[in-house]
Amino acid sequence: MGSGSLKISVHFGGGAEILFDNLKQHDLELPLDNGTWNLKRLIAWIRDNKMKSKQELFVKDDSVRPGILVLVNDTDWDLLGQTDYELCDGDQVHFISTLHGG
Amino acid sequence: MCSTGGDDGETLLNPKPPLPEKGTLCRKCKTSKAQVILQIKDAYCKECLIALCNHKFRAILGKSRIFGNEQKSVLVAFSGSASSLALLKLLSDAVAAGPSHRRIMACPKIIYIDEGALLGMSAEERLTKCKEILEVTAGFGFPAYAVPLNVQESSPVDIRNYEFHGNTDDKLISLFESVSDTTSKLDLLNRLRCNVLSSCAQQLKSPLVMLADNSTSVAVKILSGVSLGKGASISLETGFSDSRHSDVTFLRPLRDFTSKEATIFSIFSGCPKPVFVPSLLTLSKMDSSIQRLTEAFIVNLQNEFPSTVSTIYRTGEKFCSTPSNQPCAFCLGPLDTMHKSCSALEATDFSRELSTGKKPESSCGSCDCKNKLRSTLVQTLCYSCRLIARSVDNPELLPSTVLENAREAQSFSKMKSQIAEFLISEGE
Repeated sequence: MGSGSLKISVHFGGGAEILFDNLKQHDLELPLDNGTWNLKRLIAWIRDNKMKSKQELFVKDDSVRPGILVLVNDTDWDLLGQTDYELCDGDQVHFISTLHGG
Repeated sequence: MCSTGGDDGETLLNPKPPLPEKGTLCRKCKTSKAQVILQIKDAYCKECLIALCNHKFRAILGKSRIFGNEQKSVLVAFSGSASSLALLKLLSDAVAAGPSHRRIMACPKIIYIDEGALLGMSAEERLTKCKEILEVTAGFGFPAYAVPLNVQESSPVDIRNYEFHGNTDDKLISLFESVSDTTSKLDLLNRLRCNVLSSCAQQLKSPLVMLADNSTSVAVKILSGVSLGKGASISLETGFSDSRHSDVTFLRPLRDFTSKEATIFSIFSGCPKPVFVPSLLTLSKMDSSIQRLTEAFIVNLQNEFPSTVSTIYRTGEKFCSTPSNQPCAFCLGPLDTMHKSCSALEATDFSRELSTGKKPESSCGSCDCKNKLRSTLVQTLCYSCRLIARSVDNPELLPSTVLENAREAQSFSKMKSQIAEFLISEGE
């Protein structure tokens, strides 16, 4: 894999998991060929690679839909620059829906 | 509108301030790195957030003076959501606290309502959900019960021995199938849930029921309630305590917590992972119901203007309902349909008559058809319950307690009109 890869775990909760085959945890290996990965790129990647339908229930304008909380290593992404946060190896990213019915 | 500065509502909602810098310290202890932002710009670390939530929870219950020196049994409505878990955690900590830490004298019991029948879940799936609920609640050490959502009275049983019966489910399913739109279905579901909780609380001898409504869901309830014609009962449905049911009081101790606060608290305080139970709203389109649309509207607006929820919620607190002598036969809220002459209600009814070409509640003479039942029923309902009763195809499917209440109210008003001339009227 060219210049190596980035290993992270993505977790879905609060009903968001039903959009991803009911799996709560996804271990991802992202190629580092085209530069670094920020959360914006990760969200777009999840939308294109992990979702077959109902993308609008997860993504809205390059970010997640309002009402879905994002935590990276137990820290609110608002404190990390939101979509600009650059992912590091071993990061635990949580997407938790607070909306009714997921 | 409700500002104290006297600017006559000219101040607009404040847009989102810039994000804080990386490495911001907790605003309370000022030593640890902040891990969460609440409200607009308040950054807290894990420990301070947990302390803050516990303090807030006990302050709300303390202020209400509901718990005194004697232990009171409390039924906690548990849906499996992060908010429910947060409520359970806060309550269990408050019960276990030493007397110096504002201990709450409560004896909690957990109840889970199984609504699987409505979504066509298989028996196996429903029992699996119950098992999951049992697993996450077991750690708290409180007795847990389960009850199926039902139109008839049903008894809560220990969640470990829970089972359900197909024939009672059929009645519930045909009731919901006869309702045409999701908006009314959700509204109906809400009322049935309240009735189930109240009857379970009576059977389990709990004078109190705690709901895990957070401020975000309260704001959604206020705005959607207005659009559903629930004006008269909004203050009861969104306030801290709701005493419509005679022997049972409903409490919403999390109504000062935003959904983010409650969810993050449940994660930081080490609660088990929430159980996701599908609902009528799951995977539904944004415009499938008024409730869903209102939620999307508020949550989207909140994202840009972080004071949205608190503004709606504070405005909602100013509502109050005028008590009426006769409660609505369904929701037990104040009957707002009593004053008919020259009211907006009369105008609405008139315009309905014109557009449908008939009087919707006219009974067909002496025959005992469902229209007659409907006309009896509708007269004893509040405005928003009337909307539900009209959308139900066969009113006989409604809970028997509701029909009983309606009959009782009807014969009472008949008797009252018969003896009217012997009564001293208020005007004299």
